[in-house]
Amino acid sequence: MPVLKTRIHELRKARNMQQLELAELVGVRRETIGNLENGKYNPSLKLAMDIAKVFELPVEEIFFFEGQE
Amino acid sequence: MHTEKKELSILTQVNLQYIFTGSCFAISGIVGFFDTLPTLIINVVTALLAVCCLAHVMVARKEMDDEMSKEHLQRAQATVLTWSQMILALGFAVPLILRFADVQAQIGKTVTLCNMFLLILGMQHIATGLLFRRYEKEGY
Repeated sequence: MPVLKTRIHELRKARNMQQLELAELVGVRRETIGNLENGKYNPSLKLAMDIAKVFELPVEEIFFFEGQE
Repeated sequence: MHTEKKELSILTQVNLQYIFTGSCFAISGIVGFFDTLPTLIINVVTALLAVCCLAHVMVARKEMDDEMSKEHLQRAQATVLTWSQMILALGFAVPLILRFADVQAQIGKTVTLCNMFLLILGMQHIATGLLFRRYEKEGY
């Protein structure tokens, strides 16, 4: 089964943003952002789109399946 | 002086609502097998502790749940439900096994699913809480 990967950590660091700040912007807990970054949780479409909106990027530039970078 | 009440995190809520309360139910279930004054006192104390704990979770300021915690809790409950069905099915066999092993004669009480109810309920709560903690920590 393909594994969903994210660039959240990289994008967050580039913007000097804390996990908690991003979590508050998209209305989830800090733990959820941590698990997303570590590949331990697959987000809902709504959460993925909310995160994409924060970074002002298309969803597919933040979330991708392993080997499709 | 800063007196703002600290909110209960999701993990603390689950610890109190499932693991602690479940332990109280399980202890009640176990001591319920013995009809003595100390066990009756333990039963009352654990029941009161469980009620206080649930009331605290209900009235305290709580951290809002999010999609991950909802999903993890639902998944933990679903897994425990499947296990419970298996255990309940086995539970019908337990009285027969206990009778065969002469356990009931030793403890002087008939063991049925009915008087194992609190023990089963407690174990369900504990298992749900522990599974939730595991999903939160490791994913699934």
